[in-house]
Amino acid sequence: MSLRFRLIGIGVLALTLGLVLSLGALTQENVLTLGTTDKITQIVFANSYDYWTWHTFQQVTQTLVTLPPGSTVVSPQLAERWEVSPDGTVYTFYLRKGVKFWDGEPFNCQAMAWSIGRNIYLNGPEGAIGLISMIKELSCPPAKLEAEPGVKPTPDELEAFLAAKVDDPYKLVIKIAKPDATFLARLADPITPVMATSPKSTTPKYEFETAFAGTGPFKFIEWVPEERTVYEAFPGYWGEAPKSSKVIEVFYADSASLRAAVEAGEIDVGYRSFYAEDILDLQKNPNLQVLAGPSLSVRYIVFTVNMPPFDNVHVRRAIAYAVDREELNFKVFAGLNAPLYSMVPPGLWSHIDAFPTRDLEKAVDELKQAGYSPLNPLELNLWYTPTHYGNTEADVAAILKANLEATGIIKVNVNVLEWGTYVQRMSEGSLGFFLLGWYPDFIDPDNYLAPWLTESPEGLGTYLNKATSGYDKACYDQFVDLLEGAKETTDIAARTAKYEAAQRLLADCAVMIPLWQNNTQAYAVAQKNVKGIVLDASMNFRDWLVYKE
Amino acid sequence: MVRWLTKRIPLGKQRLLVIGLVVVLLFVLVTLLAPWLAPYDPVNYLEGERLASPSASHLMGVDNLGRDVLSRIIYGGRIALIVAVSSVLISLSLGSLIGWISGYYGGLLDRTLSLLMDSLYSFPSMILAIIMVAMLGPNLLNMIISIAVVYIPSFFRVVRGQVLQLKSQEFVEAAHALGAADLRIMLLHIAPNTINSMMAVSSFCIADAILTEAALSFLGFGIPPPTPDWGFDIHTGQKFLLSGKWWLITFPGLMIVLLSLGFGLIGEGISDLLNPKRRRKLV
Amino acid sequence: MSGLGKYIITRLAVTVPMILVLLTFVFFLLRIMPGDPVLAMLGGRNISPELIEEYRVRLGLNRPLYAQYIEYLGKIVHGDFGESTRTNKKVLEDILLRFPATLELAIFGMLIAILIGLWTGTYAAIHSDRFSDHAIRIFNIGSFAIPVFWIGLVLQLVFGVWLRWFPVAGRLSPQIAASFQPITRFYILDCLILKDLNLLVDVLKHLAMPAFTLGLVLSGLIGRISRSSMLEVIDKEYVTTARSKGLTEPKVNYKHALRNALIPIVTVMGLQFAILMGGAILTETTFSWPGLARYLVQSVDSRDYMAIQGAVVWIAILISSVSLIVDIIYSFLDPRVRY
Repeated sequence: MSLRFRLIGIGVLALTLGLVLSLGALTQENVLTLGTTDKITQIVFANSYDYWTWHTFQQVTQTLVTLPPGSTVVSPQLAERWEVSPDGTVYTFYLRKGVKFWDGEPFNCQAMAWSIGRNIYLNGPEGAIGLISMIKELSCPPAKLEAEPGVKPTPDELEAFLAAKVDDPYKLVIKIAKPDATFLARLADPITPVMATSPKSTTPKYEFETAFAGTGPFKFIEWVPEERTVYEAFPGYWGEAPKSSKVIEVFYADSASLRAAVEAGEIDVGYRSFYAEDILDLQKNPNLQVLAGPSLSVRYIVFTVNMPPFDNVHVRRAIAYAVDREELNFKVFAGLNAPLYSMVPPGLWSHIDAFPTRDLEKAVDELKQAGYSPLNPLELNLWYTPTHYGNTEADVAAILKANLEATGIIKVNVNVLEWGTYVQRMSEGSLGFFLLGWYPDFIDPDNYLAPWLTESPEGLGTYLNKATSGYDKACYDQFVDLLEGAKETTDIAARTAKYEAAQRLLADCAVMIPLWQNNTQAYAVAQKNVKGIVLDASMNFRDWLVYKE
Repeated sequence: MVRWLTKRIPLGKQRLLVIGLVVVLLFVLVTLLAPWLAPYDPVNYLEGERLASPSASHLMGVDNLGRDVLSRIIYGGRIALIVAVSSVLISLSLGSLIGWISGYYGGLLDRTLSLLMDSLYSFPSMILAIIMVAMLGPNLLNMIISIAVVYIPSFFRVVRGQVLQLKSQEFVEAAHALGAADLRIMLLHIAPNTINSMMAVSSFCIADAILTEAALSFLGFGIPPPTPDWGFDIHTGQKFLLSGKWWLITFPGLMIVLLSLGFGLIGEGISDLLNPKRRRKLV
Repeated sequence: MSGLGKYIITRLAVTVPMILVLLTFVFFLLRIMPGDPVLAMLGGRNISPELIEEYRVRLGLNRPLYAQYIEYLGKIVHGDFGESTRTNKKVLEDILLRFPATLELAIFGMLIAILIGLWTGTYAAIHSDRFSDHAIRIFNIGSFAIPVFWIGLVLQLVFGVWLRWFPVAGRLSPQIAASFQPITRFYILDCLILKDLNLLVDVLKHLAMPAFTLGLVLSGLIGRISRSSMLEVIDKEYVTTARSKGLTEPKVNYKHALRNALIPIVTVMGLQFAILMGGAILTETTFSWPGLARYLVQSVDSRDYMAIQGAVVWIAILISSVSLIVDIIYSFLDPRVRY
């Protein structure tokens, strides 16, 4: 009996000792735990096209250029400097020396060109390659790779390219189809198709990868879907070592769970996305710091302009006058988001408040011009998708319905479609009047106007290129002139003038109606001892700067 | 009418049935009189103080959009009753029909239909309903159809069983011998004998359908907002759970419990009537 | 035993067509209804019709329905559930990853239901027709009328938000989860294998509220059944005999009657399991439980055909096996049953 007790005693002692030791090791290791409700779709450079997957890649590998913390100016990263040919179609990058991938392979021109070329060949279905579709040729003189998404370069050409002799391993030349002022912004992280991966460790080499090695401050250790990702500091990193030696990112199913976890101290930082009411509560919590970042993510209404009654600009303008962005923001988001009066959000150059504030009388006027009256009311279908944009869409639809019905002339039926069908109906052009959201691919006003108006009006449901009314056709022609023209020059003043004109034109045509700037998404909630969080317009959350004191 | 009922059914001893009937009738009345009973417009009235807790002017509090919770609850009974009752009526008619046919004709047809129905019956009805309504698209009609499908096997089983039992009894065989048409035999002899148990099964199914409807709405597969709906209002209120806004989920939930319980009690009561021994045996 | 073996084979012969019926039903339901997995997968980007067509071909959606159906059947027979368009992984892998969480929840939910049901049912039977009997009866009837998701939220509000006794979501605390390599993915079992008390406490804390939610809703049925079978047994002769031998009353009731009361409870467990799975789908949603039911809801949202079909087949197989096992247990409990 006594022996057993002694044994138990020793066991307990050993256990406590072990616990204390492991706790000690844990604090030395400086592990940062970050929680989110976002998710990773697929760890594939040539395919992934969503915020959190890009965020993940950004922790573990890099691109030629970057937006440094707090800045929207494109700056050196893996490229130290670059030159642009006078005609604006040839970019020459001089690469940083001494950079290594985690597998020990050196980073050089061939590795960089191979990474981009391979992604262009793989051309994933989510369409991120479309962002760099202007690339025509990648070269490490004299070796060359011709680029055409999904076709070239072929695996054989890529292999030959890797084996080729080059004059200068730190000089990369990229040719693009025509001058494009947005090109450098498109090369900046976190756009994944232009990120560097080691040709040696990326497997399988010419299919969607299951493993890779990057140049980033962290090594990618593990991803357990719907549970967590783990990164560890990369000792051979060329830049300043990350402040935390290990980062665990935990995926939560909803914002309530995320809030509960940060409140209970289970995680050090919570980021994307808290529900507005929870942010207000957490601000009152003395144990936590609530940080608000700028947000360039926007939400808006889209009209399909060749579908009656939305082919009538007066109907669209009436709706633009009737929506009450202030009430929407207050009721649904507790006042934490910002009412938005232009597709180009405040905080980005060239922004102007182009859309009018609420004016029910003018809304009624426009409706009368369109031939509607209380005796001949306008009945509309408003569409939204219930889960893709978080759990607030139903509330938004309810407020919009009440706003429009306040004219006394409009009757709104609210309709719901799950995301897949929603996208299908949107690109068929059969929704008419629906809610969408936008998170920029790269930080440039072009990316807030061109996609719906000129680049992909059918895919995004405006059908402006198929406009039926003379007025709308004229709108389309003017947008093409303004937006194409704005890309042909790099002169900021000239570009600003064109984007301002485009914003004013959009308010007139009312093809889309901006509603709010998604600030609640840009909140980070952290324990008091967490330092180094930088929330800036790029909306890149840089794990390597964050640490616990 | 009441006298006739009290004579037929010893209501005094059927406390469960009486309570159930009273609860259900109360809900039906309230939903019918909603426009007069509800203090505010359930949809377009947005002037309440955002997230105000229950008070004299808003007895069950205010939601985040400024709407009166009480008014939404009063109107919310409509969807619950419409969906539950009409879907069970559909499954009652279809289930009984298929059950009759299957039981009466027997043979390969019976075996095929039974296999089909047993398969549906053995599978969790909630999961089937979710898949169906999600695929059909969320609206009133699709919700009714999806819920109706999952209760068909319940009626099928009851009716088929009864038909098989009665078929073997003499009077049906006698009628057969006299050359009565199939349909007439079924209606004349079998229908009256199954009607009582059908009423009990229907009540239980409606009680369950109310829960299914609420669950579908809660998961976001229900009627598009802002139509008042208990399940969806709980879904909306869930966002404010951690902020302690208890009134947003408590009241709609209690209504679901009460209405479902009402139909459940009716079912219990009828079952007790049909089988007085049951009361002691199967409380 | 040979009789039992024969019985199992006959049962399997019935089970296979049932699974086939469900599979066929869901297969055609998915494909007849609107919605498109390719578009759900590709999202709202600048996608070309050529790309959509390419993916249709890749997923085999361009082929006639019957050909898709036959191909799918062929695969299922070989244990190949296809590939998910949402997670880009093998459906079977996805299911096996999540299924232990659901089963753990279901088993503990069932245990709690049996505990509550057996206790209230026995108590009511012993105190038949007294006040406590009526109160329990009302609780039993009422338990059918409580929405699972709602009682889950109420428990979260009271024990998670107000009292802060239990966490409101998940299976494990994140720090513990990050350093924990599951062995069986049944976390309770893993804790016992690893002999890790801290882990066990964390697992139980997370399991408590979801399991109780699920258990509470099922306890009514078990309560009713145990009451009626207890009543029947109490009246029977051998209990009276036992009583006449001078045994004290509580001993009589529990020792002799309980074993017989268990039989009908076991019988309904097969059917209960289907209800349990339906309840689990809502419990998992409310408590962010990373199980099969939540996987199914997410798959439905993204029109992930293979995942939905896979989950349905898996649940059907599960329910059939449970009812088979229940029948076998039943044959041991009740010596009168012979196959």
